[in-house]
Amino acid sequence: MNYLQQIAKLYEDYTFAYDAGQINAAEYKSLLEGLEIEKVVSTNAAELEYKENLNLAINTAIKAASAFV
Amino acid sequence: MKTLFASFMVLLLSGCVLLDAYFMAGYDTNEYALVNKIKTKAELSVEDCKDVKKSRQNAEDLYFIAIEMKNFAENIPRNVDTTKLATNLVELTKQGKEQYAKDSNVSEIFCKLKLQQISRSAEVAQKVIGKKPR
Repeated sequence: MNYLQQIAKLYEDYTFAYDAGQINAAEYKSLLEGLEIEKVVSTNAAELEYKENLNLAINTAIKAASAFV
Repeated sequence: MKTLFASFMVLLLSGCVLLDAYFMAGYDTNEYALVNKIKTKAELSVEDCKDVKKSRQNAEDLYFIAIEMKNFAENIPRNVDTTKLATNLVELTKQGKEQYAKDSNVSEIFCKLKLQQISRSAEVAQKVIGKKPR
């Protein structure tokens, strides 16, 4: 299951719980807002991972270049 | 002229990204320990969801740890990305805490689902924080 499918599944689960009366409107709203934050967390984590990979690539290139100096 | 300007801008921007990546803050044991604490606390707190009083305390504790992590991360130079993640965790834990503050009868299912959100997000953050350069 990819990330978007996972979000869609969670949205369905929350809506089901709300429709079934297991959670009230305020709780449902809070969970949907939490889902929004989860999306932002994934974006921010991907940005950090991109920088980490770039950092690794730069340092590897510097080490390789240093071997010839 | 336009091509020259566009090429200059591309070089300038990619240079900034490279510099940003090269000088990024490295792995920090305390940072990792704090995000791990949030994840673990969220996982274990699920067991207390039947007890509203305990769950309220757990929600406040999680908010406290998330604030602690944000305060720790935000003053480390070149640590913007981790600070963003910590801020996200603060927002998420604050939602849980606020629900308990305004409702004396929070449902067990809400407690479990909110804790799962916190746990999942902390895990995503933990994975990338653990990969920061040594």
